[in-house]
Amino acid sequence: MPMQVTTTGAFLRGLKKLSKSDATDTIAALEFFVADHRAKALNFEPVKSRAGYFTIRSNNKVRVLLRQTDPDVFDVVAVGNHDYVYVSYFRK
Amino acid sequence: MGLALRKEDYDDLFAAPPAVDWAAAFAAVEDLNDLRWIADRIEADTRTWLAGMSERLQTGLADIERKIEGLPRDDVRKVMLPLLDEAITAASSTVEAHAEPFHERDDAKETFGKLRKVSGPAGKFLRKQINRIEDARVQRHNGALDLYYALLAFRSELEEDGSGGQSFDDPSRLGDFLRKQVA
Repeated sequence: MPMQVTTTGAFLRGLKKLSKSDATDTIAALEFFVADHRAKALNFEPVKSRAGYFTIRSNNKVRVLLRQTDPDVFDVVAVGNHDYVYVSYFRK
Repeated sequence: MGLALRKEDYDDLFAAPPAVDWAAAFAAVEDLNDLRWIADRIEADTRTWLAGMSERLQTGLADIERKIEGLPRDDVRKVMLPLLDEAITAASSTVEAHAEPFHERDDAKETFGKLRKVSGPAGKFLRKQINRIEDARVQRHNGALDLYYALLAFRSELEEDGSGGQSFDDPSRLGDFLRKQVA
């Protein structure tokens, strides 16, 4: 079942400030999210310190912040310029 | 204006994890036990910060929400947005400071290149301590990232146009709309 998303002014302002390639990646991520929000590539994650908010990955440096208003309905509220990192162990 | 919010009241609330001065920390290493001690300390500091951060933030933001309830939104924004912007910038700097494994930093490559050559039990012990620090680095980064997005979320709630935009449940229509916005 597709998700419903509502864009906000703050998100659109943030989108316009991104580089062309980051904006393209962000738009693609949101299209993907509407079609299949659980797709692994989106890395759909809750914001632990603020209930009701989630982020998805645009690329390895940009994430989109979403506010859940109903089970299948989200406001797109902001873009952030950081992504999660993973361990890089020191090996011989 | 009767808005009882002062920056100093929220310094702890928005506090980033305790910074690690990697250069100073490793300058003090004289033997492998020193390295274990540093790893112990960094792990403990990280655990303490992570354990309190999320709860402190949620409680603190709920407190702010109570204080601003019913107040004129313009007044709230005048006080809160600069405070939040400062906190977001600080969280962002913390994320950046923890973005790269310290053993892959350009200024440390030579040192760690030599350490790679240490073999036997000493080498194994060394790598174990460095990897404990690497685990802590990732926990700090991702904890600060959660703080950063929680603050962005709170900021979005205070902004004038937090919602009320266009809605889409068709990916193509959404994409067309957004591409027009950035054209």
